[in-house]
Amino acid sequence: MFVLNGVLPVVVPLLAWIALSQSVDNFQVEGWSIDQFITYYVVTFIIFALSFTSVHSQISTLIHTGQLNFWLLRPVNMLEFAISFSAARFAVMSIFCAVIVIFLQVLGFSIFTSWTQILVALTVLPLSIVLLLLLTICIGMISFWLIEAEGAFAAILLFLQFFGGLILPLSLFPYWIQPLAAILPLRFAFGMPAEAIVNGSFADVPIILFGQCAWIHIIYLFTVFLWQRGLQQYDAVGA
Amino acid sequence: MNTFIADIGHTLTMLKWAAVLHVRRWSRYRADVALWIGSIWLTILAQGLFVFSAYQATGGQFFGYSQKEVVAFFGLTLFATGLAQIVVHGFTLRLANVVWRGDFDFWLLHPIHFFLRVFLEDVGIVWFWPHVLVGTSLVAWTLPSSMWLTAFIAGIAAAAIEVGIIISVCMPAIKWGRWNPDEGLWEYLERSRSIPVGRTKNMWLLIVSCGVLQYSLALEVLTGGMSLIVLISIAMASLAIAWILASYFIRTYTSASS
Repeated sequence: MFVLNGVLPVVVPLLAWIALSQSVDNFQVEGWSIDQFITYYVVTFIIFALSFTSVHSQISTLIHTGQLNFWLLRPVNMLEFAISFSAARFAVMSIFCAVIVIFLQVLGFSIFTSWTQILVALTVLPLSIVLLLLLTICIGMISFWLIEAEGAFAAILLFLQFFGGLILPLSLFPYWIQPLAAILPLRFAFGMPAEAIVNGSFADVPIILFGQCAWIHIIYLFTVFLWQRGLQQYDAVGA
Repeated sequence: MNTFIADIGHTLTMLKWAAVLHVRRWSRYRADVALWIGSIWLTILAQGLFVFSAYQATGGQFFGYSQKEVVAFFGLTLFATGLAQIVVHGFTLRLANVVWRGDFDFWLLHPIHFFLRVFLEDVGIVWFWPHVLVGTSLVAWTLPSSMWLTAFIAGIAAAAIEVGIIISVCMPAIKWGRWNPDEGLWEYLERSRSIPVGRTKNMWLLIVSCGVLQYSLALEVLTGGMSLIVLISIAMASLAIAWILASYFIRTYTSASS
């Protein structure tokens, strides 16, 4: 199911770009070569695989089944639970992503062609993952107010993926939609880190790091607010 | 004869109850239904934006299709997928869970035919009527009236192929209750169906898009690259395969009570 859910949504547009490049001479799109497209989609896939933990579904299940009661009685913070859940998944997906990178290397395609790209990746990826983790926790909190939250999850996550640049690089968006993508936190999670890694340049890294830190703080405060308001809303037998 | 009339009456009653139940669901869970429809349309808009951006970025060299053909393809895809999802939506949502819970016996013991479950489990038109409406409008807008009949027959054939594929992929859940491809399948279909790949020479793109090729084939019918009879034959073959798989899995189904 991970292949259908996680891999194909990235692989299909990538293959479409590769097929288009084969039918056009000197393929260049807004300054992007086809190798840069491939690197971009692989990097965004890796970020998505490492950071998208479905912890929102876990939180939703705990709330709707009343099992949250057990967690409230324990000296374990919900945030700690989410982080430990995500860390376990991160460990497993790291192996999967390493296999992907090695497989591509064997096929003759290198995602990282310079040490600068690796350093940029090590600089911007950790906070991308933390940002996305907080966002998914925040999304999971919606379950305090909605009985059937799957529709809301689907809408919000799709919004994240699209305006984060998972489906299309942000610089290729039509001009009238770019301002909306610019003010959302998602560009600091997917699009901008991926573009910085593709370009192998530290020029945008300070802006990315600043944006990631700022949004992590904002989303963390909002998550705490939602948690406290949600607990006031929460009812369960025995609570 | 009396038994036949009683069976028809029972079937029509079940259909009426299903329609009332699921239409009433609209008013009971209005926020949730609206959110789901919103999600579905966000996905479509995202795909539309991808195609638009790719078309602009390649200067109109989009696999050799003109702008009108691409828009007609989009409309045809919406129309066909709306029809297909109206039919199989509830079936794909519930089959794996029903088997896993052990309630599949009830499905088999009911006097109505098993395949009527495809219509009874959910009235998909609540969710997918916008697809049919918008798709029909796009097709009517971009194509001359002389092609409308061909376009809608091609759309119905593509919908039938999709129904066959979805039922075939979901049927193994009868034997393996943990097999639940509904969510992944829906994601795959939503992400892949908007790119017309009929004229690409990229083998990998064709392989990855094999589950949504029916829409590209329907477009080839409209552009004169393929005969409508061939598309209809493929549709019939797809439904036949789904029927054979379903018959096999139902015949080999066992449970604690059977």
